[in-house]
Amino acid sequence: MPRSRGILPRWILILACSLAGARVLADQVPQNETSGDLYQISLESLMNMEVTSVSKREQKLSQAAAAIFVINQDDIRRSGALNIPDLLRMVPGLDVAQINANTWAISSRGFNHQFSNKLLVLIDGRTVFTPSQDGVNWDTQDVPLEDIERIEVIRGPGATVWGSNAVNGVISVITKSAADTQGALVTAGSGTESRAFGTVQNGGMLGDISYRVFAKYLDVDDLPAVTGPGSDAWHLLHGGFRLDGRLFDADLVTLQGDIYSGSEGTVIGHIVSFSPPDNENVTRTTTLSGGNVLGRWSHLHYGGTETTLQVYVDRYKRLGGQLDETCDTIDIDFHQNARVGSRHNLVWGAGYRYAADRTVGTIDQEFSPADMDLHLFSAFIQDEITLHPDRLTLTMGSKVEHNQFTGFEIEPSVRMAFTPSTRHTFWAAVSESARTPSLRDANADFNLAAFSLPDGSPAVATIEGNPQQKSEYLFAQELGYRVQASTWMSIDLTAFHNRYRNLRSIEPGAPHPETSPEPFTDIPLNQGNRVHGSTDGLELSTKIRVSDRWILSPGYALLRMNLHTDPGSQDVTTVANTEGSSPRHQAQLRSALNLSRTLSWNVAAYYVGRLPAQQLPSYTRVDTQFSWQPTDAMALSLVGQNLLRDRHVESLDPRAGVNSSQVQRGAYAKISWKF
Amino acid sequence: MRPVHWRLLWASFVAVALGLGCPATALADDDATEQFKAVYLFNFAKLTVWPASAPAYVLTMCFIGAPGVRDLIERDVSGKLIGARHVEVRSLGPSQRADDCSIIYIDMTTVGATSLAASAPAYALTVSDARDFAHHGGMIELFFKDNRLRFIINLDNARLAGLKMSSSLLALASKVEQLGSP
Repeated sequence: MPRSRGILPRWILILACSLAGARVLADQVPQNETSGDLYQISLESLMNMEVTSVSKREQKLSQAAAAIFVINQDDIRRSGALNIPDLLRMVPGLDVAQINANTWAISSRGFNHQFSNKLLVLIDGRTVFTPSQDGVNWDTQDVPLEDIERIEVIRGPGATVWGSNAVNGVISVITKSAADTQGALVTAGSGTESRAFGTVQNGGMLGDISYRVFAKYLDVDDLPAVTGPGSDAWHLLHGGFRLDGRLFDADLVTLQGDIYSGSEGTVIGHIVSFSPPDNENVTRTTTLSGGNVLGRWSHLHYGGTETTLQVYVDRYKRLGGQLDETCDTIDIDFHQNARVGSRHNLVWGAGYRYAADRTVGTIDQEFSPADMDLHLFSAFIQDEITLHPDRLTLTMGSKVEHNQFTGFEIEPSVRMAFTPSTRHTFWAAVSESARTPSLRDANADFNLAAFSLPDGSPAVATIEGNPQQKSEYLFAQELGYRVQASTWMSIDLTAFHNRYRNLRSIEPGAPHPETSPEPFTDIPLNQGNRVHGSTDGLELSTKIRVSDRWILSPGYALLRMNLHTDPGSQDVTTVANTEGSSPRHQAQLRSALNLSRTLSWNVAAYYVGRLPAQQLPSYTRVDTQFSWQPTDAMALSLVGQNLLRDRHVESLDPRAGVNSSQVQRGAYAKISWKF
Repeated sequence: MRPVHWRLLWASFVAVALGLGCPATALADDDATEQFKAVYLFNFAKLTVWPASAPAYVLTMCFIGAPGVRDLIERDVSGKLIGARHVEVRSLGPSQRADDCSIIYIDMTTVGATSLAASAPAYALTVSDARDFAHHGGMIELFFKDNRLRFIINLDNARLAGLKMSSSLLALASKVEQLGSP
């Protein structure tokens, strides 16, 4: 019966497709209504229907010519994470490895390290990348997670807008406007690892100005060290505020600030004496304190131009570790967004940053000179050109920076996005970016270990900074494809090929006698720039809407690193240590399931490949969150983390400044009220 | 001969497997958002009275950006009658004149949405999902709260343009801004 063969499947296909369409709207629209019939419903009834809101900005992101992943408030709530590092695990292509209870190594596209120097991190436009250690102190980036509007993660270079160190990625944490956090919020919880934590917040209006103030506390238990008991417990008390308002009529003004204080334990390698040589692991307590105030003023001009001026001051202080450090930063940033003609969207800006870094050295680490003033000047221009409305955009621009180590740096990029239909976006980009030297590169004077020479005289292996250290450069090529394959599936695929030159190397120097604090032979390792190479990778993130209530998000990342020493280099460790400290394969599967109107159950499984340089096997961690929200005002959640194994090690990096701990299975309960 | 229902089952299985290739009539999340915005826009048009200076037989809905909402209005509303006026739809480029537009819908991503609203023709109803639109010269601002679409009306701006809004529309607004209101 050839006739029925032809007709039947087509009929079924139409049925199946209309079912697929109906599924998405099922909880929003009465079953018998199709989209056209919505026009027959009264506005009053429409206003009671739920719409899954996808903000325009996120839609815009789906057409962006960069590898962008957005973590929104719903993802945050369902993750069960209590800190930003654990949240970042859900971004395919980021590598998050917990070193101890208070220290993480996080990187994008390889080069993972406690101080990942190619990943820039911003909180509300304030950089938290330290100019001295060349990385991020994740312990003190303690934003109340309920106040985060979204976290935008760009993998790949973002230097054209964000500047140096945005080499392999930019993480931008954006908190909610105070207008969106009105009313009181109290959260409190306790668990096996996070022993006690809580936030008290109040939001209101002062005339036309909305405000919020909060206090947050966190107390985290020790993790067991790789050998023996651990001593890395920590606590942090954090207070903050944010004001959002309008001046005159077209000016939006934000003023916000934080202040925090706490302490944490770390186990560090310490030289007890040069002669006889005695190196021991010692436990130190680091006291943490700091704060910041940030003001932002945006003015909307007639004709479609927006001008923004942002100023912040920031201080952090870490005392009692391998190095006592106080760093004060003042940053001024101005930028303007202007439509020029019908095709050009021009963004340009200029900025200046001053950082005063003051250190007091120990026998293990010191900076020479101990105090340093850093000045960074920058300017950028970027033009987004609409070659064909809604279809083809070309974005090109460059940043120019001046720093006192390497002078001028130019960081250009060209990006193209092609959107043949609203469901498909193809994009391609080439960019050049720079990782400028830090104080660690230029001024380090670190003692690694004491030992005896064959003749019995004392010697110390040291790392010495190089004031002539050059910038590391990346030339990146990226390709991406995003598709809303159907109503129930979306796919985001990125491929990249990165070529690096002038990567940091460690070159053995000539042994020489030293007299302070006592006579010894200095066996120096000097900072150099003699590694080059390439990395290739693929990043895949997908979202599958299995039903109205159930969303699965599988992800995968592949990374191949192929580094070499330059001719003449005597560095025999950097290539193997760097290549072998980032996993080749990472995969994840997240499940978000609404069991009923008030109950949800969420699970995430993360596979991380082995790290040959650290002799660490691959591991899989499973986190789960069960939440009950009987009313809009109250929510109760139970969270289990690292459920598969009692304990596992995520990082055993010999280059880290602290000793590693084992990440333990844990659980906690949390309650939150809004009123 | 095999019973027919087996064939049906197989066919539906294949059809569901082919679901990826379904035509674009089904609604995705983004589309659902846009669908609601389109339907609201249609309702705003029904519940607004234009001054005599506006065209009597044509109601032109103009869109700056927002291709999704525009396409839905074009598909579902274009050519229909609202009162005595036929609905026409067009996109508004930055340099194009807006003289004939009775409604101007401005996408929130449009830079300077508020200043565009200020330069709209005398009788145009301006609608946008841009933040603070109603406070900065616009008439109706759409926003989401608790996954529901809400709106704010600036009655002063509407009055200046000679527009009258029905009391039921004003009653549904989350906020009506006018002189003397906080």
